[in-house]
Amino acid sequence: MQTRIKELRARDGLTQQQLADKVHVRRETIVFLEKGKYNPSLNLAYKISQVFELSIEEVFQLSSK
Amino acid sequence: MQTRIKELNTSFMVPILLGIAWMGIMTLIWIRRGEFPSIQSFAIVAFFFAPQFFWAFKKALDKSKSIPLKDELIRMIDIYASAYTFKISIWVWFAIYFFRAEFPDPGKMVFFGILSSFLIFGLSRFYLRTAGPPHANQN
Repeated sequence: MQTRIKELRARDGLTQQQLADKVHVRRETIVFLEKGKYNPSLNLAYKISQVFELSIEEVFQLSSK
Repeated sequence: MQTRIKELNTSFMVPILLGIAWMGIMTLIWIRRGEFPSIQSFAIVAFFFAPQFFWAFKKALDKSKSIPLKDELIRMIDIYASAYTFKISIWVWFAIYFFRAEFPDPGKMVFFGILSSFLIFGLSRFYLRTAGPPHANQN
């Protein structure tokens, strides 16, 4: 799973902690998501997409590997 | 505002109660032995209380900052660590049974088994918090 979270965070000027607070998770979860070490639940993916006002597909992409 | 203060007070109650329990145990030792507990006694009791106190304090601190104690990642890590502990513990107990003649008494054998499970859980949790849960590479 590839994500654009880091790029979108920079676009909106959000820190990892601020994003974590908005979606009610711990900062470590955002770190893991950005590194591609964790696939979020549909619920969390939806919440993150809502923060960036984009669709889930625009934030998360399945890698071809 | 009052509710928030009440919540904070409640969350900091656990470390405070642990501190009181620690002092209570030391007082009990003092009364029963009739002499003030030694530094070693304080250290041994503190050693067993320290992790609980640390985690209770950390939880209370996180709660005061509105950081969730457990989110979906932490819950998943706990589930995987528990599963690893269960699977590896089966083999540890099998090994203990196989080498049961090496243990001087059954008490030590059981203690070794429990300690192993405890260590496996700790190591699994540490590994998973560093590497991430394995399902992340399911694609």
